[in-house]
Amino acid sequence: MFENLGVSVFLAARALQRGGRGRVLMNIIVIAFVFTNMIFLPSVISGAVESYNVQTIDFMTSDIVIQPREDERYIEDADTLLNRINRIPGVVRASARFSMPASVDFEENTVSIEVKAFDPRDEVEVTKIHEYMNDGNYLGSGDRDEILLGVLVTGHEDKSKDFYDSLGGAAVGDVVTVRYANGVVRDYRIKGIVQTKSYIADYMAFVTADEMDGVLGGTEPNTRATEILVKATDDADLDALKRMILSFGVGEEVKTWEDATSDIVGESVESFNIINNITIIGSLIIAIVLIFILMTIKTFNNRKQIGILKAIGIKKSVIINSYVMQVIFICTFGVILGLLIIEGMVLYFTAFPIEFPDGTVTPIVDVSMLIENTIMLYISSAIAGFIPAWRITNENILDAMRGA
Amino acid sequence: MISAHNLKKVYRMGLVEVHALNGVSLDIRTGEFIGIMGSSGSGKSTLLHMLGLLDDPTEGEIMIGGQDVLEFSDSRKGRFRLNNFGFIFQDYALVPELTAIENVILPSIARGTALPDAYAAGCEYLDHVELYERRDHLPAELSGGEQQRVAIARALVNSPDVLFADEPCANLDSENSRVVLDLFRQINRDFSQTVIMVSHEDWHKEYFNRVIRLRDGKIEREETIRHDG
Repeated sequence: MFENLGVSVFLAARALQRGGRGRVLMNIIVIAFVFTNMIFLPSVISGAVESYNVQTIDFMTSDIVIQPREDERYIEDADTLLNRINRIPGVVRASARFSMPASVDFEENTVSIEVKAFDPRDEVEVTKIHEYMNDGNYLGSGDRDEILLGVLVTGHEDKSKDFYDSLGGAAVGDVVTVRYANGVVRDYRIKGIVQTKSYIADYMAFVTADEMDGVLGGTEPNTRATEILVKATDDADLDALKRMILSFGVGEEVKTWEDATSDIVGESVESFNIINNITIIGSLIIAIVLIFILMTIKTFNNRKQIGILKAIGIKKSVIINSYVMQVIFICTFGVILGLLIIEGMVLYFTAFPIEFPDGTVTPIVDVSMLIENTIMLYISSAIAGFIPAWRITNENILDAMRGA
Repeated sequence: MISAHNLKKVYRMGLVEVHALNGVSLDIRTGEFIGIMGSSGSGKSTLLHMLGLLDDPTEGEIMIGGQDVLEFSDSRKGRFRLNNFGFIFQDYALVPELTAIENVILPSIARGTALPDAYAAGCEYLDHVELYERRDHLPAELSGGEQQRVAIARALVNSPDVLFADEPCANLDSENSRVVLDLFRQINRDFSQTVIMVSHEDWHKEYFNRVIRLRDGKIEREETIRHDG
């Protein structure tokens, strides 16, 4: 099969060199765009998944989240637990959150959400919500009668611009009425509006833990939490840190951010993968059909030449390999050009990220995906080049020479 | 050298059977310059294709150098053609993307000859057909006569046992035809090269040692031509 490769290379090189450079260039460009199509959309999807992951860590779960035991609603004695966690090596800081369902009223608008309470001194160490103030200020320790709202909660005066129910354009300084699930009703001045571009984080409301103590009543401060977020050091192995937290006698559910979001993200990634696969298969089919048509036309036009080569005793495999090599050459330069196009697009979209409703996305080109798709493109192209050449070389010599 | 016995070739065209060869037997000796002649449709090209292993007879036997070549597989026939035969076709049959020298050396490198050796031999043969200076020209840049001379050099490069020429002068004017035929005669005389050539031009007879005249797929007669000097 691979005897006389030198002759195949010789024939392929001359065909490429003298068989119409414009045609070869056009084929290379087409393969480059097919390759770009195969890589670019998956890289955008990878970028979107990465963006979602970063948002999850920065605004929702931090690195590790501790949740109540199964069948429990709260983490009891959260202060003691916080102290214990804060002493664990690899932990930067832990922040307890207490959530209570509530409805927020402003003028004739009502939004039903969970109001989360935290100690702002702890929270700034574990999440980045404070870095994403759209207007106003972040909560301070001891703040009472003030609330922090996500930009999707405050919304727009023109409600057609809102994703969800909103307060119709409430602004910093406006007073909203919060009706908690325990029956307590409070009026709060909006201290700040958060805009993270995470549709989950931007549909939240926050008050201080001190304020929540008042809402919950009682003579002692609230020591319950609905979750504890834990920020790890940059070099920490989160799975190892999770095991260490458990080994410190924490009996609650301890999850890394990946554990906590695996179901939601897993489903999304699966959906994205389906889209990716459809894109890749579509691109491969385009590549196969295109190369098949091009090579069919080329081999058909070269029937006589193929007949001549066979007549003078050139082996079929040499002739077929010469056509497959031409396809491989076109594919190689198509892939190189495609890589340059992709690199250019990645550089552009790194400088000017794509604006998605759920944040800005920078394409991420995964090397393993790149290699996998390149191999698939090569195999598909080689097959698409092989079949027409094989068909023509199997023709009767005289029929081929007559070009009939 | 070549012995063919009772060669028959039947083509089926729809419901009609066409007997292109209808029981041809002949013997060809080494060093002969054979002319296969006859009117159009007499079966002369079909006979050449059978003897050159480009097509299989419907019936009959071909022995070349004592071997029953019709028993060969397609790939062995291909190897046999490469190693033992040279072909010259009516329409030159050069690869358009290869220069004159590349066309000439192609069978040689396909046999496994190292490129420098093949190139040197190719140049020698191109020189022999007086085209050395035009060795780097593509077929499209050569005249019909020049292309046919390149095809002759290609056919000779592997020093074949038999040179098959299928109406090599059909597309040439008489001047170029004579150049080509003179070349065949020279090769035949200088190297005792066996040449089997199909022609329908009666004046070509003066170049042949022997003429096999076909009619309706059968040998009508054989003539031995004597040349003075």
